[in-house]
Amino acid sequence: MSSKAALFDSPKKIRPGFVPWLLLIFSALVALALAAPMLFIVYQGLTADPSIWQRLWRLGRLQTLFINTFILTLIVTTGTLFLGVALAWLTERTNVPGKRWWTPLLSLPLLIPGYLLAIAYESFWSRWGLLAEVLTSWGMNDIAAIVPSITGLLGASIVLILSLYPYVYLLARAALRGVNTALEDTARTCGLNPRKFFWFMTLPLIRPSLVAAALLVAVMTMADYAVVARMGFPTFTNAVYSQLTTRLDRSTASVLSLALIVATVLLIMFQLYLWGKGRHYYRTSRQPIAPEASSSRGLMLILIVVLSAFLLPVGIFLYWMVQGWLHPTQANAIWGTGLADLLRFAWHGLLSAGSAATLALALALPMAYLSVRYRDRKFSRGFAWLSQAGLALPGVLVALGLALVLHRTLPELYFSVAALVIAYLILFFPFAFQTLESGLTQIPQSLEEAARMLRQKTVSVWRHVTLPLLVPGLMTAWVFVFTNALRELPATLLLRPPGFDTLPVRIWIAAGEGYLTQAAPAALLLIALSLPLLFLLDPVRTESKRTK
Amino acid sequence: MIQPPVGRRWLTLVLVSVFCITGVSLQPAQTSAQQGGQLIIYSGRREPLIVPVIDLFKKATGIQITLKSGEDQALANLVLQEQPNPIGDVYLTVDSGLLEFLRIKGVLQTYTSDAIKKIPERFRAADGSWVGASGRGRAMMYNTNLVKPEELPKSVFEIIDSKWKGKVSMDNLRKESTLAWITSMRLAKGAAFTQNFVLKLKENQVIFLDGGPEVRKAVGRGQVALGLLNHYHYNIELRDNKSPVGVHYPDQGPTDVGILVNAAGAAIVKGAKHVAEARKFLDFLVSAEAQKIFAELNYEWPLLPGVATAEGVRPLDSLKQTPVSLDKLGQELQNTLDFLDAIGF
Repeated sequence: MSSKAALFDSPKKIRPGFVPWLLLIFSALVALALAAPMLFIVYQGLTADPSIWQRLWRLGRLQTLFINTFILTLIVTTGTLFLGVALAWLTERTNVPGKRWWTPLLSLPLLIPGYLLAIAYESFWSRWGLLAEVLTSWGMNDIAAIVPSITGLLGASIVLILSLYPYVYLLARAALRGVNTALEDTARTCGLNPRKFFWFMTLPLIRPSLVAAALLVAVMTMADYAVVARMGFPTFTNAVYSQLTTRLDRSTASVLSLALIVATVLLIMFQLYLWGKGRHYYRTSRQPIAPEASSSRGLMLILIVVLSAFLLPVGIFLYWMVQGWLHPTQANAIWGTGLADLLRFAWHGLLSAGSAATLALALALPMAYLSVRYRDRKFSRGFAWLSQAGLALPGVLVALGLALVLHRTLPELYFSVAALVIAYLILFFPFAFQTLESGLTQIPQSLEEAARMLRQKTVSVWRHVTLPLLVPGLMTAWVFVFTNALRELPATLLLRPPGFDTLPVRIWIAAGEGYLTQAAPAALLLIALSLPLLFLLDPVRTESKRTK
Repeated sequence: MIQPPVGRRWLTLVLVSVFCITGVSLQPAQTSAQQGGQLIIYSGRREPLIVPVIDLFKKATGIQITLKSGEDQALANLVLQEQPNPIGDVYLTVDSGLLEFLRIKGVLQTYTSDAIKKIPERFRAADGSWVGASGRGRAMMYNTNLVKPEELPKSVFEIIDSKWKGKVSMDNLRKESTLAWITSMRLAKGAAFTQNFVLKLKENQVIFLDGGPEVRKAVGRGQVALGLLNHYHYNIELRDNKSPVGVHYPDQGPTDVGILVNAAGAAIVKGAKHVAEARKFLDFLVSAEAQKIFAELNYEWPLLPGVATAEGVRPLDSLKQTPVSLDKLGQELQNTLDFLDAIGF
């Protein structure tokens, strides 16, 4: 047998028509397991007594919830788009003073989950809030009397916009950097004035990124439970939670959940359609573009955002923490504001979030590999889609679905740490998968094939070629899943085993009872533990620069 | 041979992963190792009010306690769901209606001891399924800067008078203590009367807030003139904020319905894994020691005869109470929920 024939016979080369059965079965199982809660809810909702639908309709509940959710999502998406694009424009394309400092400062609000901002604002504004108290102590009673309270639709919108705009900002900024400046230069040479130039040139060019960002914000708004709960503005997710906790049956919750899932899936499909329509391909040009002169209004906007989205909430929590130290009460011991207690709550979070992040990577890697390297095979894309169920499922619904599934199959797992980890997996697996998928797409298949030609075994190719190249992607995915799981609130509230309180749970319960001095230390610790998120944003950028 | 360019970061990642997975797998092992002297309590009571009692119990018995706090109805749901494999041993709630509801569903086990028998019969289940630990009445609290004592409504039913438009605040109607109050009204005054009253509440711009403490604060700072809440909020507001507030017990005339007195109580879940410890805990709840904490710390009415009511709290026996038995609150709970659904509340 000639050596030439052996080379072409090599089974390690990816052959057309070759189906990696093991990978396929593995992916099928993972995808089904991740989608099971959603499928169960849909089933439960579809088979529910029709009288529940009728009752909800007659009471006007469905209509109100639909309108509320729709209006809030619309306002928050529009608001974050406006704010994010304006800030990205200011920091990328104008010579606003202190430009270097604004980008990190404007990303800082990522550290503060929406519910912390809501808790801080609730205690700060209103006639009886912290601000009014301070004003009164300075003798400004008249001003103190007119401090508005931030609640309802207004409050929910403000808080959600301030906590979600960084996603739009970062994506818009990256898109602005990627735009070929030659196009813009040409437009300018042809005499477009700056305003027209922005609307007709820049905006269409960065539209795909904006659509992706808008989708992210809209889905997060629809999934939010905590902010709207604190602000007293009922939406679908919120209604499902209160159905779960106040009614003594689950069918109504399933019915409401089904409506929410349908709405989210429709939204995702609509945005994917938009995204597909507006995709542009352009070559980046690193020619620096001449910055526009900035007005003082631009600087004002940046200052207001940094102040209200980051400095103010952190300041409020610091104030409450110091208050708690200065005037210790019996409540401190009860709410666990001591270091030992805080570390215990943090440890619970680190444990469950760490396991979830690691498991997410372990499960996502083979699936992403299947989906990227065997893109044209039957089913491989289908499983990828199915595993994204978490995108359409708010934490509240994951908890409901998981409860339904575990009850029928593995009742021992219900209210165990494992159940919590599974919930985090369902919620955040999509992000891990997408990160790894795009990471793998960037690794040329020819590298792997070259290694195979050199007679490396599959495992060896993986170890020596694929994985090392994928490390940045793995790190990003791990940190992302980890921090998000660490901050997760509603599913943790519903699924935590007795005695397994995490920082968000302690903050939420203490703040709900009005013990802000006792919630503050945990809140600040949680913000500090989210710091890797920022680290994640920067190294990735420097990494990609280094490879260029 | 290809040199693996695997960095130190990669190694760290692997180490962290292994560490976390071992951590999670160890978790259940730890809990089962402690079985022997432990107890899992599901509590709908506010933590600051129950933790001192639990701490005292821990000290006295050395039993390890795991406390899961939450909303009463959510935890009742949980007890029901967990029946095939109960995790919670004891269910603690502020509404005896929910206890009776669980008894009817057959998820509680009976326990009667000499200590429990000392609690008056109307504050515990006849078959020993649950026992009341402390009493709480629906009272009114008013801001003395806004209302003079002589202007106060004689009856709670006067708050739908236009004179009180937009000046009254109360708990959300779906909260357990308010639900119990609606149930008692339905039973004492009839469905038609209750429906009219509840609908007029909205018309008269009654401000519904999320929980008693919110109502208490609203009255304390003068946001509203009058609040409907449990009686002890008055004493707490005086102690914590020294606000200009007064307490008022309506419907005390000879033909009036009186006020609803509900009991916060506890029960042992059927199939509980720590029955001996759970029984000790129930006995402890009705002991003079624990009763004193309920009375002194939270200004509730102690249900054990002989334990004194806290200073500044009107004694229970000086009040006229709505003649609705506590087990009726549980039997009628579902009907009240349906009733509120039907009138669109």
